[in-house]
Amino acid sequence: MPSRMELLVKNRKFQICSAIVIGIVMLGVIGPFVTRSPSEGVGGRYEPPSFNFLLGTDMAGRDIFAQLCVAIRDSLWVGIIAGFSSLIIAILIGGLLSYKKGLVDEGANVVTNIFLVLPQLVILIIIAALLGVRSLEIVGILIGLFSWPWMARSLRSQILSLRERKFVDLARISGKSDLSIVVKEILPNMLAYVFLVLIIAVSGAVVAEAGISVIGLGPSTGFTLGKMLQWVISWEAVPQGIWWYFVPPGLILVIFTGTLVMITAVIDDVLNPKMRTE
Amino acid sequence: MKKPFNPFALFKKLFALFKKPFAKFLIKKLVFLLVAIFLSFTLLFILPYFMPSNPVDMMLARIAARPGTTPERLKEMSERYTRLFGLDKPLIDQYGLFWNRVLTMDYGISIAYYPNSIGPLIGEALIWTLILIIPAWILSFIVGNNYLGAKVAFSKNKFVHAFYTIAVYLNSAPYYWFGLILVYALAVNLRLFPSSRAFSPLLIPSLSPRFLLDVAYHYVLPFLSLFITGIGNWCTGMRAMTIYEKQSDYIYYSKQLGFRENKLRKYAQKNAILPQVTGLPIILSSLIGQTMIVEYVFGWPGLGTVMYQAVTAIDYPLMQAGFVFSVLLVLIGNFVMDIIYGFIDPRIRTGYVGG
Repeated sequence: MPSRMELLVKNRKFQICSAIVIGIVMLGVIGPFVTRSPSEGVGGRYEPPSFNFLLGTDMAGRDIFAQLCVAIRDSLWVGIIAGFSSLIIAILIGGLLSYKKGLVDEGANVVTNIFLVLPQLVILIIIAALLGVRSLEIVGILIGLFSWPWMARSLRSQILSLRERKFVDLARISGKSDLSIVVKEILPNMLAYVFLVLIIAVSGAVVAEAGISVIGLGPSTGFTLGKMLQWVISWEAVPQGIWWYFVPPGLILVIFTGTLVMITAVIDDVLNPKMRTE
Repeated sequence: MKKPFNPFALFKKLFALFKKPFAKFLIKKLVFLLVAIFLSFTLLFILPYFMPSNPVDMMLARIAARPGTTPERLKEMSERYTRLFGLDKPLIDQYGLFWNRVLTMDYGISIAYYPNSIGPLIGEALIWTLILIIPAWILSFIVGNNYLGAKVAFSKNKFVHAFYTIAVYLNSAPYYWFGLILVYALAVNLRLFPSSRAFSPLLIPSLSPRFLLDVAYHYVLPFLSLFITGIGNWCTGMRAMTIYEKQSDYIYYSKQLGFRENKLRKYAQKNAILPQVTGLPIILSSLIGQTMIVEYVFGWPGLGTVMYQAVTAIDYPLMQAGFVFSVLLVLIGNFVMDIIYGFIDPRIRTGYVGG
C-alpha cells in the first residue's frame, strides 16, 4: 500500500499542475533579473510579438514580457503577504476562539458569518481610496484583513472535530494553556489542511489585488498584474486590437489560479478514498 | 390519482409553517440580518478614523486644487461638509447624523455628478446593477450545478469533461478580463455587439420597446462575462457532492432495478444540490465586487461605475451611499436565500436541525 504522499506525487495530473505553477513562480522570481528594464522604451510603439520582443511592446515601446515578469513577482508578493496575514487572523478567530466552547465560540462564529457575506471588494475600495499612498505590503495586509472569514470557518470545522480527540484531552489534563494546545497539539495535526487553505488564499488574494488595481486603487509603488490590466484599459488596447498587451496578464492570472484550484481538487481526489473514481 | 386542489388545506399548511420551528428559524435569520447591517454600517462609519487623512480634508484639498475655485466657494463647501458630517459636534452626534443619512437616504448633492443629488442617483444605479447581477447569479447556479456539475460526475463523455475543465479555469479568471476578451472577439473583431454603455447615447431611458431592445443589445456582453465565468463556482462542489451521492444505497438499488443513467442522475442531483444552495449568499458577496469592475470596464451605469466616479472625485458621501447600497443588496439577498432554503430543506421546516 503506497503512502498518501507517494500516491500524490505519482499522480499525472498533480505532476502537470505543479510544473505549471512552479513555472509561473520561476518566471516571476528569475524573470526580472534576465529581461530588460520594464520601464524603458526599447522598441517602437505597439510592436507585435517577435523574437526580439517575446510579447511585443506597449504604447511607449516598453517590453511587455519584462513587464509581465515584474508584475508576476509583485502580484505574488502581495498574494503571499495577504495569504499569511489572513491565515493568522483565521487561526486566531477560527482556531483559538472556537477551541473555547460556548459564548466565545458563538460570538466568533457570528462575526465570521457577517464578514463572510460582506463584499470584500467594496470595503477595499473605500479603504484604498482613503489611503493616499499604498505600498505592496499594505495592500497585501488590507486584502488579508478582509479575506479571512471563509478560512476561519473551514479551520473551525476541522478544530471542532480534532478538539474531541484523546491526545487533546491528555494535553488538557496535563495543564497546558489553550493557546499552546491549539498551536502545539491541534495545528500540527491539520498542517496539510492549513497548507491547502493557504494555497487558495494566496490565489484569491492575487485576483483580489488585480480587482482593486484595475480601478486604480492598487499599490502606488510596484507593478502588479492588476496594474498592467489598468494600463490596458486606460490606454484602450482592446478597441485597438493590441491582443499581445491585454491577453498575457489575464491569462497568467487564469492559469495560475485555475491550476491551484485543480491541485486542491486533485489532492482531494487522491487523499479521499471515496472520491477515487477509477 | 391527483388530489383536487384545496385552498383551505394550502392555507393551513402555510400557517403550520409559521408555527414554532420555522418561526424560530425566521427570527434567528432576521436578527442576524439586523446585526449584520448594524455592524457593517458602523464599520463604514469608523473606517475614516483609522486613516491617516480624513475624507473631508481630502475632498476640500481636491476642490481647492481645481482651477477656478474661489475662496468663497471653498468656504461654502467646507461649511456644507461640516454640517453634513457634523464635524463640529461630538463623535456620538456624528454617529447619529450618519445613521440619519443612512435611514433617510439623504446624502446631499454629489460632487462627482454635480449637481445631481445622491439619493436618486444611487437608486437608479442600483436598478442597473440588479438587472445585471441577479440573472447572472441564478443562471450560473442552475447551469453550473444541474447541467455541468452533476453531469460530469456521471458522464464519460469527453466533451462534458472538457467543458468542465474550461469552466473551472474560467472561474478563476478575473471576470472583467474575460469581458475584455469577449469585447475583443465579439465587439472589436466581429462587430456583433456594442462594447460599452447600457444604451445608445442618443436614446432617452423609457419603457418603450425600442429602448428595451437597445438595452438588451448592450446587455449581452457584460452579462455573458459574469454568467460564463460564474458557472465554475458551482461545478467542482457539485461534482464532489454527486460522486458522494452516487455511492449511496438508493442509487445502487435503482441501478440494479435497471434505471437509465439520466434517471439516476436526477435522483443524485436532487440530494446533492441542497448543500450547494447554502453557497449562494457567499457567491453573491463576491459577485457584487466582480460585477462592479465589469460595470466599470463596460461603462454600464450601475453601482460599480458610480463607485469609480466617487473614488476618482473623492466624493465621500457618494462612496458611503455606494457602500450602503451594495452591502444592503448582499445582505438582503442572503436573507431571502436563507428563507428559501428553510422552505426547501424539510429538516429546517420541521425543526430537526437548528438551521
